[in-house]
Amino acid sequence: MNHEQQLQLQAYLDGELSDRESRKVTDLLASNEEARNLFSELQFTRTALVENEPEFKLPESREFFWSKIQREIRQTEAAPVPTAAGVSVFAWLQRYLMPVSVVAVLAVIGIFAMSKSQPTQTAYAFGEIEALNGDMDSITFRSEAERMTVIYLYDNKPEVGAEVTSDSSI
Amino acid sequence: MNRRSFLPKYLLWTACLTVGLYLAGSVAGFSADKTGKKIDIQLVWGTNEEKSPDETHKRLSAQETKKLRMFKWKHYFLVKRATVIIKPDVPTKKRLSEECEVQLKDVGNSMLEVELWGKGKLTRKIKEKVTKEDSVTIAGDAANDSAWLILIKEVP
Amino acid sequence: MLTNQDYASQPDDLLVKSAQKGDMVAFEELVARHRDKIYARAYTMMRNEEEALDLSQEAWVKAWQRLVQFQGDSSFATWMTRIVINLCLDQIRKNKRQRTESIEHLDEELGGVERQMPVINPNPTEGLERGELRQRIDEALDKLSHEHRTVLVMHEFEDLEYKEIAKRMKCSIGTVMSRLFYARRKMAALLAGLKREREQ
Repeated sequence: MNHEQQLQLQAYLDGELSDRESRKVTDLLASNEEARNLFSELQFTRTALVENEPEFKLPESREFFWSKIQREIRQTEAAPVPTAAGVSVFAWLQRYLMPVSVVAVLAVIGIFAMSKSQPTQTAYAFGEIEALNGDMDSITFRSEAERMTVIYLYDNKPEVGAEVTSDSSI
Repeated sequence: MNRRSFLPKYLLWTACLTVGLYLAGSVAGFSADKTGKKIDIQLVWGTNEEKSPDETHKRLSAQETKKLRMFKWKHYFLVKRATVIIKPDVPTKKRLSEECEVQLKDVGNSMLEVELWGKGKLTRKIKEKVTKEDSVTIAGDAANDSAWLILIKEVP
Repeated sequence: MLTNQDYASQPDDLLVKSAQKGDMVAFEELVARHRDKIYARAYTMMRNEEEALDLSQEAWVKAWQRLVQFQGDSSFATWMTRIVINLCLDQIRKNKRQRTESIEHLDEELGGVERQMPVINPNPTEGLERGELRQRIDEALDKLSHEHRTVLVMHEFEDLEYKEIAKRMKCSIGTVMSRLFYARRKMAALLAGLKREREQ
């Protein structure tokens, strides 16, 4: 059995193969004892792990852990309000840009829904955006009611909850 | 072909081409808006605060605020407003704050190329349709759950 | 006004909605509810108590900052787990840049070792108490490299598909398959070895 076949066996176990590929693996399992043994090993290892994830308790009390989080949140939120000269857009871009607000996302959904309800309307073709700062991303949406295209920029560097940061492969 | 017979032909073709190009350029220039487009740029601060910390910031009118109802903020303050005249393919830069500038260029077909400059560095280049009816707004989150917005539209 | 008891009786989604409006007490209840799970995920990946504590704390702070983005497409716990995993992946990358790869590790990365390992038979986890099996798995996980442990965590504990793992680890699906294969084979061998040690 070659390495490719071994990986196919594993992919079959993980449900990652097409019907055609799966049939090849079942044929292999039917005819090859080594394949059957390896499949069995991969299977019991997977089952053992899936069903028995080790559990760990946070080694700090609820109050202490929360106090640290709360302090950190307050520190990060204690950012200065823009001053008069002050609405320094670039400073905001650099320091405070947060990911797209929920309103922006809701607007996109709303606009999408509106566009769906007006099938005869010609779709608006968005223009081009060239990002020259790798730390920032953008989302574009359009309000047909206001005939306004909005390009919302946000910081992608501390991206969490969705994607890993743009770092090298591990 | 000897050198003497080639030269007059070459000169003739060059002259024709020059005249042709000049005429084509003139026609194109004539069809374009020679007086340029008048573009209105507004730097706006969106916030839930009742007042701006800067008294010079003027609250946007109810009508203008209504146009921004797609955003979540309750109040919008005008920080800076500027009107620029842009001519086809001629970039025009405008400073909106100490560190932020925008550069606008009419690239034809009602498309406007907007460059966002911060601290002297180009951070974003956007090409969007901007007409008297269609506007573009570039925005981003700012501190304390507020936002900055740059509203760009063509005015008559 | 809600009392602490009221918060404790509310489901996650209502607490999230309150927290999205700025209610910190609601957020504290979410932290209290899921702090062990988030810490456990960080610890499983990092194998270092201090780093796991810092990263889980950071994950909660990030979650507060980005709570408005949570749309309820997944459970709050899943969303939180993804945050901490991403932070761990970043930390692993940073750590990796600082350490020198051992020859053994490179050999594992290049593949080949796992192909020479004999197939484990019979199942070394059979007949074990749940607590003991968990302990053995924990000990075995400790012996894996970060890359192999990460792929196992994401596949077996987070139930992510190859494609999604590849995206998060920024590598090819082929690399994910090889790493997963190696990690599973090594786990089987380690579990068998641990069993033998206990029996002696």
